[in-house]
Parts: sequence; structure tokens; C-alpha cells
Amino acid sequence: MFDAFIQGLLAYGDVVAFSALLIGTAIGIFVGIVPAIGGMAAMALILPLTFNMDSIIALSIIVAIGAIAGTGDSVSTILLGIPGGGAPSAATLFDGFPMTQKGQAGQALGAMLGSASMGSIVGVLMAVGMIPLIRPLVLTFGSPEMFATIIMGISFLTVLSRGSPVKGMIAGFFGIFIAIIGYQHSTGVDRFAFDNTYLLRGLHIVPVAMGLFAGAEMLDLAISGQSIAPAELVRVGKQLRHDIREGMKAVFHNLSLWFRSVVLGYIIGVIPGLGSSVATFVAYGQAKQTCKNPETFGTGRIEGVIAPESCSNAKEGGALLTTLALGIPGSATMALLLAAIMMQGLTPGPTLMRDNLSLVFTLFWGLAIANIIGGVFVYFIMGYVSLTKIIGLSPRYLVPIILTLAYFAAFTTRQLMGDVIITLIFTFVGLLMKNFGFSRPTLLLGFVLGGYLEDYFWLSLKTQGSLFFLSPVVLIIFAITASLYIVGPLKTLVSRGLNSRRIGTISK
Amino acid sequence: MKPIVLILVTLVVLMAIAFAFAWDYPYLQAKIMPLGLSGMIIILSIVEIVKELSARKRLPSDSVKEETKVASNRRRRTWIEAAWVVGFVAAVFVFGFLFTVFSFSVAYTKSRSARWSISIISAAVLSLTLWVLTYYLLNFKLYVGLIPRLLGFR
Repeated sequence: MFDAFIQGLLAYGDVVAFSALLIGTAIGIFVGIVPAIGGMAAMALILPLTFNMDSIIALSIIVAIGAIAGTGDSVSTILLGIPGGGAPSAATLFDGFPMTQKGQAGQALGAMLGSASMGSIVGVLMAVGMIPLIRPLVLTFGSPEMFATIIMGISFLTVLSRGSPVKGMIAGFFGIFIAIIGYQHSTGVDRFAFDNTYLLRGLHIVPVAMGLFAGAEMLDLAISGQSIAPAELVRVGKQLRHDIREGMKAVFHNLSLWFRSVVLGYIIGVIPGLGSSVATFVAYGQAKQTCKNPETFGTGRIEGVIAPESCSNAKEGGALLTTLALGIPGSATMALLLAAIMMQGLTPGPTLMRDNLSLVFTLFWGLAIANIIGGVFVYFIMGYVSLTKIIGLSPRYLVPIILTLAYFAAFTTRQLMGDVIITLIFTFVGLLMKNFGFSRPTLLLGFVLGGYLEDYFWLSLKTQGSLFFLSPVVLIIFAITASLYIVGPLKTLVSRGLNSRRIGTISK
Repeated sequence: MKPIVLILVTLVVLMAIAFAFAWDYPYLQAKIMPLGLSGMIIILSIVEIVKELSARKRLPSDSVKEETKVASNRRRRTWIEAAWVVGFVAAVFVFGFLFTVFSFSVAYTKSRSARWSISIISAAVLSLTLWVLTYYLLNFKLYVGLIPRLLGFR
């Protein structure tokens, strides 16, 4: 196994293979930064071109695009508040965009780059180490365990909301409510779609997120007549590069949070069916729950960037492992990688692990190297081209750009005009929520998890009976969820007790 | 009536309608989630309405008057900007993406006293980017709009 591990790395000693990785990384960054395209569309477009290529070259390009598009996407999320890739980067938006508004775009970008690159490397190392354990781990996670994980995510509804918890819960439940519009999966009943073919499919995350965040922020910008960040706070050149490095250092100052998020991301990545959105929201929720001054989350906390970004990138290693070792793609991106592998005449699963172990390791190395190169690329693009200048632009130029990109991105998702209407509706919903103190992240969390919640609940009930929640793994997940709510107040109580004792001693 | 109360009352009415619809769904699996969710939203909204209504009213003072003036100015700007956004989407429906993006960009920047040259160049770059993205990179056709469709464009 160790020989294959080294051979996998040496494959990138070949200039052509390394160039393929570079090309894939460059494409990944480009499609990530431009909100309308996204990694999945780019992979789908490149896929037919790789048919006659050597397997290492072809798969390296695909892996690199998939690995790095998320990082590119986070750039536009942090700078413009446009979560192009939908839910995964939406969790970064909660604190990344407010940091930009406060003139801390460099720190946010640095934290994103640092946590993402390191997260992906550790995710890959964990994936490599877990190869012998992957089958039992995946088999342990049935629908009841998935349901318990979703409950953990849903439990963050009140945590994510700032201000009134009642308003936060209203927003969260409303999010779950709009997630159930369309066909009910187990019965086929039309719920609130009124036979409308668009609504029967259910609402898509991209138009909802685009309206709630990009649309509403853009409208607010136009109303206020001010740029995203005041011109005097926009940093470029040397200052910006310094800020990016400061952001990277912040990852080391929050190492335990970073590590928790990486482990969480890796585990969720390994389990097929839970996806990036669940991972990043759960990571964000646990960050808010475990960090000091949780009430300041959402106003531009660097921990709010570190947690979802490290989690999202570590997830890729876990998802790649499940895809290669078991032939089960955990996400649409991994399904495309699976198609690319099969186009090369290889069979993903135990056969691939037995006969082509060095290729498997090459792909893991490719994922890690692409993230490092991607991080360096983004650092240079940001630091030397000074893309941050865009945030100081007057709204009269910025509004048409953001409006066009947001509505265009919403349209490209499924090429339906209905998605444009939904973006418009949620632009106004988002603005009302912002103005009247309802939490938009909570609504999005409810929307992302709502569909899964119902599906896994009924599936668990059907497959395991009414006592499905008594399985050991489910109980462990519930205990972790409960502990997140107990540890915080307990810490506060202990520190209050210690403080009062200290004051007592001083006064004596 | 306070705007927040109006929003919450609207939500209660909408959720009450949803509750009534969900009641008639044929299977328990289909009705339990919408019934539970709409019920919860109604209860929480009523709690919030009561909270808002029981909050003490502030006495009018100079600063409050000033706040009211700022708020009414913001409200006026909100209507204007909201009209631009609705106009953009309506124009996409009628004229399609490319024409709308170009004309909207020129109209919006000009209405905020940008120079003609900057308005036209920025609108052209934005439209060209969209065109290259869709026709060359993403390989699909943009929505052409009702009128171009009637004129035979596909």
C-alpha cells in the first residue's frame, strides 16, 4: 500500500500530468469565481473532451475542477455576497460578506484559503488512512443515522438566529415549509404546487439563496446608495496581501475549531446522501455554539468563515474515498467523476482498489495538490490583480452587475424562467427579513435540511420500525447534539462561579 | 398598524390557508409535516404579534421625528429600487436576457448620472460576457423573451 501511495504522488512528476492538474485548477477557479457556471457544469462540459485522454490526465483535470471550484465560489461569496454554488458557500456568506462590508475582505479571503487548503490536505490524509475502514463505516450509516444528523443540523435553527429566537424559529420553520413544496416523495401527493409543473419539482436552492442574499443585499445597496465597503476601507496590493496572510494565520489561532470542522466534514463526506450543504451548515452551527460571544456570529466573525470552509474541503476527501472504494457517489460532482472513471474503462469500487491502487492514490494526491495550487492562484489573483477593488465601486455600476449575475446564475441552474421569478420573490422576502430582524441563514438552513428531514424520517420508520432512534450510533449523535447545548451554558456557569470566587478573594 | 405586525398577520393568514389545504391531503405521510409546520408558524407568529403589540410606545420627540423623516425617505427609495428590479425581471420575460441586460445597464447607470461612454461600455461588456458564457462555455440558449419569440427568434 505504501508503494502505491508513493507511486501515486510520483505520477505528478510527469510534466503532462502536472500540467493537466494546473489546467484543471485554473478552470476550477475561473468557473468558481464567475457565479453563473459552477464546478459541476464545467466538469460536465469537460467530460466528453477527456474520452481519448490518458486516464491519469483525464481524471486529474476532472478532480482538480471539482476540488477547486468551491474555493473560487467562496471568493465571489465573500466579496459580492453571491453564493454561486448554492448552499455550500452560503454558510461562508453569513460571516464572510459582513467581513467584506467591514473592510476585512483580505482576512476573510485568507481564512477561507488557509482553512480550505489545509482542510483538504487533512481530509485526503484521513481518507487514505481510512481505506480499510470505509466499508464498515458507510454501512453503519443507514437512514436513522442520517435522520439523527439532520436533527443535529435542525437543532441549530435557534443557534443561527441573532436577536429574537422566536423570529429565528419562524424563519427556520418557514424554510422547512418551502422545502416541502412539490411532490411528496413517498406518496406522490402534490403539496402546495396546485398542479403547476414548475412547483411540482420543488424549489431549488440556488434561486432561493440568490434572492435571499445576493438579490436582497443588492437591493439594500441600491437603496442606501453606498458601496459594499466604504472606499477608505478597501485594501489593495501590499496591504491586501498582508490582510490575506493575517487571515491565514487566524486559522492557526483557531486550530481546534478548524480540526473539529475538518473531522465533521470528512465524516459527512464519507456518508453518501448527506451532501456539502448539510456539512457546512452543521459546521457553522457547531462553531457558533462552541465559540465565545456566539451572538456576534453573522456580523463578520472569522470563525464563521473557517468552520464552513475547512469542513467543505475536508468533505471532498471523504466523498472521493466513498466514490472510489465503494463506487457510491456522495454528490453530483462525484457522480460526474464516477462517469469519467467509467469512461476510462475502469470500474470504481473494490476492483479499482485492488487493481489500480496507485491510480486511486494519484487522485487523492491530485485533490490535495489542486487545493494547494488553487490556494496559491487565488492568493496571487487577489493580491496582485486586486479584485477587491470591485467592493468599493459605486452602486450605480455594481447594481446592474450583481443583479445580472444573480438572476443569470439562478436561470442557468435549470434553465427555467420560474427560477428567475423565485429569485425575485426571495429578493423581497430577503429584504423584508433583513429590515425586520428575521434571520436569513436560519431560513436557508431550514430549506436545505427540510426535505432530507422528512425523507429520512419516513425511510427510517419503514426500514427500522418505530424504535429506529434507539440504535447506538443514533444515540451517540443525539448525545453530541445535546452536549453542544449543555457545554456552552456549563462553561459560562463555571466561569461565572470562578469569577465570583476571585472577586470574593480580592475583596477579602 | 406596525409594518412588522402586518407582515406577521399576513404570514398567519397564509399559514392558516396552508393548514386548511394540508388537512385534506390523503395520506398521513403527506399531511403531518405541513400541518405541524404551519401550526408551529401560526403559534410563533401570534406570540411575536403579542410581543410587538405589548411593547411600550415611545413618546414623540425631535429625534423620533428625525427618524421618521429618514424612514420615509428610505421607504420612497425602496419603492423606486424595487420597481427597477421588478422592471428588470419583467423586461427579461418580454425582451429576453441579452437585450434587457444591455438596456437595463445603460438605463440604470444613466439614471444615476454616469457618463454615456462608461454606461455603454459597461453594459456592452456585461452583455458580451453573458453571451460568451452561455453560447460558448455553457452551450445552451438563453431565454429569448416573448416579443423576439413572436418575431420568429428561437
